[in-house]
Amino acid sequence: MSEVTQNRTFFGRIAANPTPALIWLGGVLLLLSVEFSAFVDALILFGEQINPLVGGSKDIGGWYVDTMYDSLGFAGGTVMSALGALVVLAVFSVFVKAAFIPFSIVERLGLEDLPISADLLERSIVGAFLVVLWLVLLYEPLAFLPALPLIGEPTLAQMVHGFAQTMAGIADWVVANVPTLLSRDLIPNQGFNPPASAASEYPAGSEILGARIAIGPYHGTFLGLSPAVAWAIRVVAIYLYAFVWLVWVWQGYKTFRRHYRFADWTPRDDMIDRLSTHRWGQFGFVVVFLFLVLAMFAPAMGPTTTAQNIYNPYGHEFQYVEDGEVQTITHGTANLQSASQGTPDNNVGVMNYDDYGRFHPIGTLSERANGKDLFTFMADGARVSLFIGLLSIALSGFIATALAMVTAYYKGLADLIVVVTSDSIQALPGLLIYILLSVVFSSHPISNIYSGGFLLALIFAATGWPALWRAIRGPAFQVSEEEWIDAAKSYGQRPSATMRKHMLPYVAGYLLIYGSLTIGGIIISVAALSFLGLGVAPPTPEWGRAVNIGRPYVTTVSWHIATIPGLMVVFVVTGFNALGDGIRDAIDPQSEGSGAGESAAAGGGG
Amino acid sequence: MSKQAMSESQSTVQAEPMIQVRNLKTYYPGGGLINDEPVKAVDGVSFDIKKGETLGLVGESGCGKSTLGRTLVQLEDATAGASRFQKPDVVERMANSYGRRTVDLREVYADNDATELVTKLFADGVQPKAVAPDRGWEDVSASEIDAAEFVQQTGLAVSDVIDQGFGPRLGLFGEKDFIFIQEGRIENGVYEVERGYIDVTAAPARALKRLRGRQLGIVFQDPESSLNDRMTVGEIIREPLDVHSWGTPRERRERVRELLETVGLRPEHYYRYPHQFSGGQRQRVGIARSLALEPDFLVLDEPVSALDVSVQAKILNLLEDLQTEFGLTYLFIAHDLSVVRHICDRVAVMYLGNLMEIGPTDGLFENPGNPYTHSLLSAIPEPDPSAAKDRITLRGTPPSPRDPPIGCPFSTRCPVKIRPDEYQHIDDDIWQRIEVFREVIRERTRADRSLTDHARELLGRSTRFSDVTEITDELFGDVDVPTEVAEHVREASSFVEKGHDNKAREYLFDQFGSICDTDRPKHYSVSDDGRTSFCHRHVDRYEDPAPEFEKLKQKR
Ligand code: SF4
Repeated sequence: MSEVTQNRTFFGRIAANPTPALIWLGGVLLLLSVEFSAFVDALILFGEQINPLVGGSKDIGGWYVDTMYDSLGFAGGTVMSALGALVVLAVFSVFVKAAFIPFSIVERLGLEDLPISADLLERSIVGAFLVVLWLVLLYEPLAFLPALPLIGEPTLAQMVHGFAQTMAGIADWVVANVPTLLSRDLIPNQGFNPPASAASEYPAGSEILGARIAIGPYHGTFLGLSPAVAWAIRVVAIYLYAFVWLVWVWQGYKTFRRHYRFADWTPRDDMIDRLSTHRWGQFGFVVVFLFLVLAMFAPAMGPTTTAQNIYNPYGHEFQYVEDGEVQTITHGTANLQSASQGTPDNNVGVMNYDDYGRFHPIGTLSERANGKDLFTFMADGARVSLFIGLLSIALSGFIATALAMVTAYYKGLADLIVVVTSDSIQALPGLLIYILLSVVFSSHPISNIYSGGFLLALIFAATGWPALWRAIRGPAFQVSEEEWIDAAKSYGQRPSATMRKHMLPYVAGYLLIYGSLTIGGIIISVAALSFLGLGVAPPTPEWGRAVNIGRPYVTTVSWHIATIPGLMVVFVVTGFNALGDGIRDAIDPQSEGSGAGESAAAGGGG
Repeated sequence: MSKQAMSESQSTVQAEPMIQVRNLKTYYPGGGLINDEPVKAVDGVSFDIKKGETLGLVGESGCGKSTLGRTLVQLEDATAGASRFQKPDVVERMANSYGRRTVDLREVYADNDATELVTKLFADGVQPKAVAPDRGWEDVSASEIDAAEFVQQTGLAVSDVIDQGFGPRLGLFGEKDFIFIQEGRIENGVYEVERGYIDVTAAPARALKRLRGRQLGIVFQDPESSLNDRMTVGEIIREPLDVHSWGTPRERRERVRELLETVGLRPEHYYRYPHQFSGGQRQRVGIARSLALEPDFLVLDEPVSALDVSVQAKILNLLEDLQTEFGLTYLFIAHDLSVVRHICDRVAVMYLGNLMEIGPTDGLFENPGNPYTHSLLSAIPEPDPSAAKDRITLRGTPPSPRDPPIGCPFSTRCPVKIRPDEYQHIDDDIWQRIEVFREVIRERTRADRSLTDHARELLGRSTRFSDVTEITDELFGDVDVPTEVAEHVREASSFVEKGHDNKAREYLFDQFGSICDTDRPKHYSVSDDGRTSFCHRHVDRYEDPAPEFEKLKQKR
């Protein structure tokens, strides 16, 4: 490569040879478009969960702005509000940039030759992004929108509000009108086999883009196939779709490597090579992948929806055939009749239909849980587990990393303080703390977010960071002894930049390892708490509660209620641990096999 | 410098030093349970490095040469003393941004009186020889002399007192002042500096950051560890440029490519990782990084010791070329004497945190002054194996830097150590054995002991170390020991038997100690090109080291 092309920025290189990048981007757009409204829907859902937090920040901000206007009048109030917003924004963007963005956005975007300080530009970009994110979350459409009580006149805030509402309207319209490939609208699995007398009234098959094609006799199901087959087709299609994404992302990486990366070799290549021969790690990856897809596509996964199954079973009706007649019944009533109670008469087991022609891939729950469909319960429960697991790992990982950097760089007193703090936290009996805190906060509004899941995540983060910090403290100290840290000091590099550039990349891998080992522990702990009747409040599904509900029936025909969720917990936790092992061996080939005891400890240490 | 290059470079070397080190000490805090004496890695050294010069720093490993180098670029904090950087334009720039930390030395000179200052110092317990080094006051204690007389006889001025680093101690300026102006003007609050210096050891972090990379730099020994292997070579070399916001990012990338060529690599290596290079190439990357901002002064911390012999010469040549091209000033730290002889204008020999000898390279190698230099040089393998050469093998190991000898740092191993007058007549062989005996006792007091051993010793019980009769038998069993010596040895042994190793050590010190044990030597001029050596033997009363070594050789 000539020197001229070598001096291009990343975007410059793409501009010089756009074809491979465009092909790849086209693929991404195609994949996105078939599921576009599902993605928008997910965004809205995400916003809904985060909304109370953002709303809280708005309350504080509103109070500040009000006070300023009250005491300083219009001009002073405006100036002070703007100033306050600027300060908050500056603090946040500096923090977010330092903590979460290890590369230079300006360089990646090829903006580095603009006649303005690169640092300032970088932080402005981050700041702008934060503002947009905050606004989107704050004025998120499906949440309750309080009128902005700032001032009577049309203000900037109200304009923003209006804009956000317009956006929200668009989002709602998209969700309502744009079809997605993998929805239950396109591949429905709820229907019945009409009696001959009513065959003309209830034609076979479902409408696909206005046309009705039928292979089987069922009314309302995909191609008139039986509910079980239609459901299976949908699940397989979803996994295929996710798999295609995976392949395409990998393809993107290869395209980047082949066409746009100058380095013909990087240390990461070796890691990927090692991971690609690590069978145990790959097994873990597959399990985690299955789990993630289950959680992400939960609404389309279940044979029935959460609204029908869990949250409002008496508000939804369906039709079935009894005594040669088509009848209508609510899901709630039908569920109660199909509960698995441990006797052959009262049991809907694995791969069975109930008396109302509904298919239950892994049976139903007991009467205590109103005979809900277990698979739908588990799919939605996977979301809860994943949400709590990821959030608490992200929080405790962030705390642990920040502390590990600081303690390893400054050593001495800083280290001692953190050692004492973390020891004190680790000395507390975990389960007792969870129980205590969930009781203390039970009437606090925070415990309503995600049925208490958010609070659980916070508790796990607050009690979990010491273990993570301990685990990465060693590698952090090791890298802090390297001479390149001294070298960075010798040409005047700032400590924070030294930590980020010269220490963090070495510790990040270990964080990934211990993170994936710990997340299994958290999933187990959440399940254990739900098993004890604590933690996530019903009716929000949680795997541990399913085990608890099924406990009396383990030795009966209704064994599936407790056994399948229990096995799934074990399977997922093993998967995360295996993935962690794989990553460790990829990052640090010398350690192979030596860390087995360690990983078991971390996995079980929830 | 090679020989031809040397004559050139000497003409360009200016009289004004770029680096002035004064009484520099770097101690590491102790922290042991029993022994929390600090490790005295650098224990009071003073020297100058002139602009454009290469000063070699040699010594055995653990002598503190690396610590000294790292202290000069403030990778270690100095415990005491000063390291001064002199370059008028830099001092001027600093003075204009740190006006409150700037001292106009001429005012200080005018406002103070040397006699008053010296009186204060003497009252403070400072010895005359420390106030006026190299002027022959080593035998006089502060109480014996009147300050006024002393100032008059030595011609001491306020500037000399400050030059010795007594400024902060006397309160002539604040502890935090670090910019000193000797000649210059101040107009409307703007400094114009013609002569002055920055005390790097006192500079605050922000000021240091500005000096680092641009004025002070360091090349590390191990290119494995000094390059972050998750970054490409280009990113590594570019980092100092980024830190100091040098040019635009595009210019920085261009500059990195230039630098790659300067150090003998290719521009397309920009996107390679350190893993893909050999040791020598990596060291080139390290050098390119240190050179990125063209610093005035570079510490080369054993830059070739980790490399193959075949590569060493190439890197050395590169360093020489770069020095000629950019007018760099080097402190070259090494343990390989032949390398030093090849590349350095002047050489400093270090032992146990002290400079033993310092001076122009050729003179030092051909006619060494200090006994330690003699011993070091005799250890160089002769290129011609047939050339008969009498090696002086040093006995034992260097003492612990936690507990250095009170007198000459080399006194525990010196082959030509001065004997006390009353033992002059004793046979050399027996004297040798006495020294060994003292060394053994000293080692015992140093040895790591468990708390139980300490407790036993305090209780006067015997410890696992009490096999002293074996030692004395071994040492003195087969020779005829004069009675007075035998007496003292027996006395010392009895202390050891009772477990009082320290008492035995002190007893032997009192009986057999000479001026080398009791008094710190000072630097004496040993040649007319300004070489000085740290040894009592240069005083007229004693025989010079060189003839003593001749005698030693003849005996064998
Ligand atoms: S002072 Fe004494 S011990 Fe030290 S080098 Fe000179 S002769 Fe040897």
